[in-house]
Amino acid sequence: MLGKTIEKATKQTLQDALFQILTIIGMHDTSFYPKTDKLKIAPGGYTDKVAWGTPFNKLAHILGDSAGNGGLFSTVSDIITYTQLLLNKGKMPIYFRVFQEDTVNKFLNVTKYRYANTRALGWETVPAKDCPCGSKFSPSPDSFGMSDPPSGSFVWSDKKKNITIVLLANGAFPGGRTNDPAPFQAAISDAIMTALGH
Amino acid sequence: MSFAISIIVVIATTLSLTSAANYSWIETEHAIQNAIKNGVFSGCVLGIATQNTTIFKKAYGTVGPKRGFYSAPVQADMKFDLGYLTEPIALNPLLMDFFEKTIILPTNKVSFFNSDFNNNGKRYITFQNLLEHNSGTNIFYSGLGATLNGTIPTTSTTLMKAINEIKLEYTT
Repeated sequence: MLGKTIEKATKQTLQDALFQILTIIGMHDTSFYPKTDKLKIAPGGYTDKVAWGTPFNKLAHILGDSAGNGGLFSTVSDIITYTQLLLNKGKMPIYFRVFQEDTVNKFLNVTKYRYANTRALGWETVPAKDCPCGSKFSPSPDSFGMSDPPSGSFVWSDKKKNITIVLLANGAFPGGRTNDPAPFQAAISDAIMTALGH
Repeated sequence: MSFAISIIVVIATTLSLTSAANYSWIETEHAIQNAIKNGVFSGCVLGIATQNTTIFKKAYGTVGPKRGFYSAPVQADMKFDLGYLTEPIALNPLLMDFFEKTIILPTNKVSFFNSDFNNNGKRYITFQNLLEHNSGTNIFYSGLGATLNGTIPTTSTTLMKAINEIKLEYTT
């Protein structure tokens, strides 16, 4: 919905609209329809057939492999680059300012949510219990992140403790998934935070 | 000048490696291997960073379940399908950029840009509502099937028609 509305509002594809800002941030390996060779893409796909560069999100696939809620491909390094930009309040670590601090705060601020939880604009916030980020992240708005249950991937950042964890996984590989990833994600997060002394 | 820069790079690299080496990742590695062993995923890449430095990055497992055959190992620079992470990694920076350029504001109504969405009480739904998941719509596949009298959309056109015409489950 959001993706298609952005395309209507800007009169360009989501990929084209995204390209400029990702280039400025330096996320050169992030895009819809990845074009690199098969050896550089973790295989997946939404049917029983293994595919490279095809999203496992069925809605995104029907919408032409790009949507606001699925279809993007990226690397751990690129996602770390973006979360560092947010942890630095809109500024790249050693380069220049991309977003104003007020803008970053607005989009990371906790907002009301219909259910027993809160959200930020595009990000999840730390829930009251059973967070995939484990038990050692600061309460939101100091922490923000997102989990992708089908693949087991997650990204969580803590502004107060100055840490980002990015785990990209292939749990959506056809026929490859047998367990709920949330408790395993929490165990990984807790182990990392313990290792870091938190 | 270049000599000074080289010295700074060497010191920064040494500090980075030293700080990474000071941590024990034994429990972390055990937790990841446990997830692989339990079939949560067959492979992954883990990255840990502070606001200025990447302190850990490593690939684990294979690109697919082995099932008795060889499966290639995951590489640390591999591209992964982000699934739902598309929303924060793509839409979040894009909408922050649009906000600063006043192209789209979170408070703008979706129906202003997409008139097909202006039905069934959805006129006042904003971009912020969609980002906060409190718009009142339930854009899940089963909900869409019900909207089209049980017909599951299989094309972009029918899917967008179903999304645009979906009814509110509650008003915000």
